[in-house]
Amino acid sequence: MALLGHVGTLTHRRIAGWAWESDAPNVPVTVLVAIERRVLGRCRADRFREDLAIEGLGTGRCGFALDLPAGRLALRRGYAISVRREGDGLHLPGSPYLLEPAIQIVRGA
Amino acid sequence: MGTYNFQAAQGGLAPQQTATITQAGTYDLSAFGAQGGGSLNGGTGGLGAGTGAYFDLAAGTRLRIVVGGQGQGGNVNGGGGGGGSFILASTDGGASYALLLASGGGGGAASGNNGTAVNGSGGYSATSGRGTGIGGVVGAGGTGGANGGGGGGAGFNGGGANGTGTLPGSGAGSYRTFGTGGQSSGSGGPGGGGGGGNALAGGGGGGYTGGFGGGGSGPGGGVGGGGYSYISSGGTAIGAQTVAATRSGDGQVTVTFVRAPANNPCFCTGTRILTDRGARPVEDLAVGDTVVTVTGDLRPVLWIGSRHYPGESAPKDNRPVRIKADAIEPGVPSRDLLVSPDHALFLDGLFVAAGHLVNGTSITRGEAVADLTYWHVELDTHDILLAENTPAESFLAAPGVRRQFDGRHRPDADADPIPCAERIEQGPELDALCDRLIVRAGLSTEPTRFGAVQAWLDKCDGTRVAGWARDAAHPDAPVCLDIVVDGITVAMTLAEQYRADIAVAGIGDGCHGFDLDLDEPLAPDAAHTVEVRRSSDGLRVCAMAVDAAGQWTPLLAA
Repeated sequence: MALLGHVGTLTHRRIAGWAWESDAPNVPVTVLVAIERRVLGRCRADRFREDLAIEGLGTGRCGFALDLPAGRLALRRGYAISVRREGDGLHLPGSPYLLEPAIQIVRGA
Repeated sequence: MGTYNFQAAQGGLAPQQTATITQAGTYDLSAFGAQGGGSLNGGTGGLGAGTGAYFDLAAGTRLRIVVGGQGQGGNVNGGGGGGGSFILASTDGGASYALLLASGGGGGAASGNNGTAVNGSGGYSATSGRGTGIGGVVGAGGTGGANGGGGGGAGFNGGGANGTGTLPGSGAGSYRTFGTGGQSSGSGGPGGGGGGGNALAGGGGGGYTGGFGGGGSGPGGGVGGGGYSYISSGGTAIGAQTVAATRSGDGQVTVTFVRAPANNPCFCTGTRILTDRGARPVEDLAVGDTVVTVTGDLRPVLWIGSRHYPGESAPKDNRPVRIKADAIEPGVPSRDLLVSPDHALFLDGLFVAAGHLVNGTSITRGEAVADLTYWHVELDTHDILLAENTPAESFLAAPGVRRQFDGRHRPDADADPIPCAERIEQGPELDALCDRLIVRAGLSTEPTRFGAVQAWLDKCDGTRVAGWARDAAHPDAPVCLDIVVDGITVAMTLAEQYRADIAVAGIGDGCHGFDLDLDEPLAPDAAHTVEVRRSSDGLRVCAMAVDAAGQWTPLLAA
């Protein structure tokens, strides 16, 4: 089995990318987006993306996007966001991904 | 596939609408900015600009549409600017959007010198490329007195400047945010957000770059300038629209399907086509040669075209699809067949573009081919050839397509050419064909399987839920669980925590525990149920209920 994937958008409000199993090219992967054991969301990676079709990742129907409500993640905190396949729990390449704090407070001397 | 109309949302701020393109092709996108507001003493707002262009849109493209609303009439005097209208597109599932088209709103009217009504300036149209519109013009200011200037219109690429006056334009700042309308006494329209008019001066219209607000200072105020328009470089402008501010009232956006993508069947150099003298490389064919069609008919070649991309200059989206030998069935293709992604093949009774068949193993796409040359073989009517023993279409001369090629030109027929079969773009028959080829390539079409779940709920006291769970189909992996309180999913968790007690009990390696605090503890003195369900299918794996007296009892699984 070869699970391929990438997260191209990683913010406190949106986690989006693609996931594709080269040994089952037309079966959508379901991904779990989690911080350690706490699961933020679950989505099917089956959205068509022309850029993925051009790259030959099957017919390009392997995009996913998870939108989070404001406040779900604290903007001043960083997180390690893991994106894993449901079932065998395999991580996408590079997961967990580091989400840097969106607000940095700098105190003057 | 007709025309879709998008109207301004009445009175609302940021009336953004979305649409998804399901049929690839060329679309006529037109946007009209809204008219500016009138002045109390009878001046009329400038008309909204109209901008239209043809764009080629892929299936799955998402459009975001902002329709400008008319600027409010001034209730003191200057009218608000009209909102601009915008079309943005995303080809990556909505992660990012690019602006395709913007049409400027008209400027607000004003009460000019000595109380004379002055009409607002119209929005400025674009003809091609970015910002050929002249842009907002600063309204002429009046003299004397102490009134503020009008607010600048909001722009996608920055707002117009506020008009200058003795007092700062009250349409400042907040009225110049893209996607919001103004809200002053003479409010700008929603949509691209016209500037708010102020006192006697008109507000600027919204647009690619917002129009400038009118200059203020009584007894007269200046009119608001119209907003800029914009056509992205991917669009072909429709008609000559040099001045034409045409739209009265609210703005409007229309999306009209024009035609399916140009059918561009191309073979790569070296592809062998069956002729009456056997299979011959496509580059060796000549006009007048006789080819053998899939039905065994002998047909003369009427035209051959080619298109050469030196080095690796072929656009990425037009890199060939490789159909490996035997991918379709034994001997089909007889050798690897390379065709353009939209070259249709005739397989299992379906006429389908090669790009729809890509599976990454036996049919691949995206490889860079150095010095790529595509060849086109045309018969007197569209038909099916045998290329590397694979049924593949001949060239179909859609109007204009032929001119893209290097070959000797032959005039297009007056009538549109008739395809020999209807292409299939989606549906269960296409899925079945793809699955057949996937299985043939030794790959799987099976979805992820789940098994029986062993589970236990140890702790459930109204504030915390803890236990363990393990899926027999994935004994070494964590199960994803929904925690459901009174029928509502309140949390999701992975059962992956190490617990010495279950490791000792022989439950795998013991990494199957879950333990979480409820964000909202259960209300006391009331009955509740707490269920743990497998997220993938909602299977209840364990549950407990509490009555109003606080007595917990386990519920049966599933």
